Amino acid sequence: MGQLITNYFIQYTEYAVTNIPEIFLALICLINLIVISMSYFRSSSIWPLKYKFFSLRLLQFNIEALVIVLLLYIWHIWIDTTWIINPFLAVDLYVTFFKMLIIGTTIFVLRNSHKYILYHLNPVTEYSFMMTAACFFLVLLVSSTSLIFMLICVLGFSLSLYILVMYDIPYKKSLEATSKYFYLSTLSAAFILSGTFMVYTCVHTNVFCNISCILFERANQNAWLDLAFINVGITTVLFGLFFKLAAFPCQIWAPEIYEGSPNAVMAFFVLPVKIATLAIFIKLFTSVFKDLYYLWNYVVWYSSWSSMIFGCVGAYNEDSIKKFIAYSSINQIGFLLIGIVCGTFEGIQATIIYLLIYIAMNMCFLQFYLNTFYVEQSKNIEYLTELKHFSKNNWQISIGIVIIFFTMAGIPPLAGFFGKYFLFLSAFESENYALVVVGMITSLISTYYYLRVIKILWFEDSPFDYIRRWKESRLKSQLNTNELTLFYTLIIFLTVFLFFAKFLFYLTEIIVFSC
Amino acid sequence: MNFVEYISTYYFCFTKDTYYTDYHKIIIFFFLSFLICNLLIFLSYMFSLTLIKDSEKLSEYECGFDPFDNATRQPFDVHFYIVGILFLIFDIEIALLFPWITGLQFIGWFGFYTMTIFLIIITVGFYYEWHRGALTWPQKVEGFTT
Repeated sequence: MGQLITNYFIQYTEYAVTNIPEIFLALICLINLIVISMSYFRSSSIWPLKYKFFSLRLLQFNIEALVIVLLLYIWHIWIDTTWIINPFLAVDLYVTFFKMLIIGTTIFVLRNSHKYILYHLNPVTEYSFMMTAACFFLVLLVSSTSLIFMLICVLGFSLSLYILVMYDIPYKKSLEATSKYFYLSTLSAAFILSGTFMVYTCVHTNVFCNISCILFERANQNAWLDLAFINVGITTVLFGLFFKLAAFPCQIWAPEIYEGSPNAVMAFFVLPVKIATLAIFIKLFTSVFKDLYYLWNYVVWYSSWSSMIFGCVGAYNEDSIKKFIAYSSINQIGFLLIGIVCGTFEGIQATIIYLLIYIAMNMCFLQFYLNTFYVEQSKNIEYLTELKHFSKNNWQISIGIVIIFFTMAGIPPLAGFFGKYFLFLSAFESENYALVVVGMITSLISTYYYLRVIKILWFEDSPFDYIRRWKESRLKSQLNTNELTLFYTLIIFLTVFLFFAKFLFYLTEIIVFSC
Repeated sequence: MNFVEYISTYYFCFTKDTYYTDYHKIIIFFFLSFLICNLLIFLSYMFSLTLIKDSEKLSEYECGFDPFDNATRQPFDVHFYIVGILFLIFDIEIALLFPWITGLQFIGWFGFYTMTIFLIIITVGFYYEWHRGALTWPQKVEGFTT
């Protein structure tokens, strides 16, 4: 036994060192659980307040822990552990980049859920723990090295999300959203599992490296009998992942679930979940199933233009803000899939650039949306028409919103135009002209509802405006200076994207090389 | 070769295996079971004489009286379901402990500590559910909803 300790102890510590941030995050989740269970307040006359202060303190703890994890990732890149090859969890620049994005967006979501916990009627002690746990599973998902591990991580974060969607239960739409999301999400996990089973019967392995080696050998020899099941297996895994991404065949759940869930949970759906599923999607289909490109290419092509059309058409006359965000994110996922369909290096580069712009746009808009309340009330905005005359009291933020919606629509000097430009360029180079045409037409058509918001903010007139007091909106944005700086830095990023583009190209080149 | 080296070599090399070619047996089994289930359900329906929909014949039997209102249906306590799920989790933990015990001499200290970490995580979950009250039958407290 003594010899065994010295033989593998070094390897064990090597693997632990490459994954220190994940171990830390797991410890944080466990500490959260222990702390929550130790502080069960019984028979106290002021229990609601105690719970609220406790949950707010837990929230702060989680935010600080995630900031430490982000710094650990930066340290991790600095110490350059590329000489350690971890077979269980992938460690390279591609993975670390996406993990940093996930953690950054989770910090953003947690910071903005402060008001939600403060104003919620029932105690929500487990809220921050659930988000940290979901973040942990997303982080593990990105660095997975086999199909089974990917499935476990998908189920893990889905489980946390079922509970998070449920927090607004007295609100009718929340019950509908929870049950729909639960049933459909377990179905999609079943799809992924059946897909892995079929791939396994074909290549007798789940591990990504081994699958790519086998397919590299056999796919070129037209050995169709050997690979009979793998076609079906790949498409079922693809459908499972489309569900999580809210892309075409499985995107109908998104508007209703986003509307029924609490605002900050919707922000979680829109930001970290999409980043993680895109990361694993790109990794799976461009480096694992690369030699079977001709099998999955058609499905992703079809999904791409259909998502664009669905997202574009679905948001017309949509008044509810959360459904609006859902449809626009479906539309943007369609754009992101264009880059993957191309199958070229530049395609994935364009996807990652547009992903960064997508994150910036949505973070900006959510920063505004999650922090705008009626004056001296805890009521949040539900409908776009409530934004009337918002610019009279908050003109600085209204200018920011104008810039956000111009980039979503794709108007030239702003970032959205350049993101779409790079995507269309890579689509042209790989002769997918239909995607370019559909993309351009949908961008054009979607400018209507993006600019409609700006019209409501700045130019709306109603018959009751002759009464002077209704000219002022009773909405006030409660952003303090820290959050405002984030808002404005992202706005500046979106406006001067031209000058950042070169830097981003180099960054994404390095990232895609290490995939 | 120790356990960790063995696992690493497994992850980096692929194996050649024979293919399973007896799938026809599964499909025949499937069709037979489908046939039998359908027969069980629909034969009795086809050969019965209850096509007369008389409200008196179809109502519940209550010793000749008019039937009480929904006597057979009671509200279901959801707590039974919670107890079942918790049992399932710890049952799976026990099921994973058995092969670990038998193979401990092969996996050595590394295997021991791996299972210890797993047990610690499950114990934290147990502590959480105990103190959050999932193991006690819920009392109805007025004005408290969680």
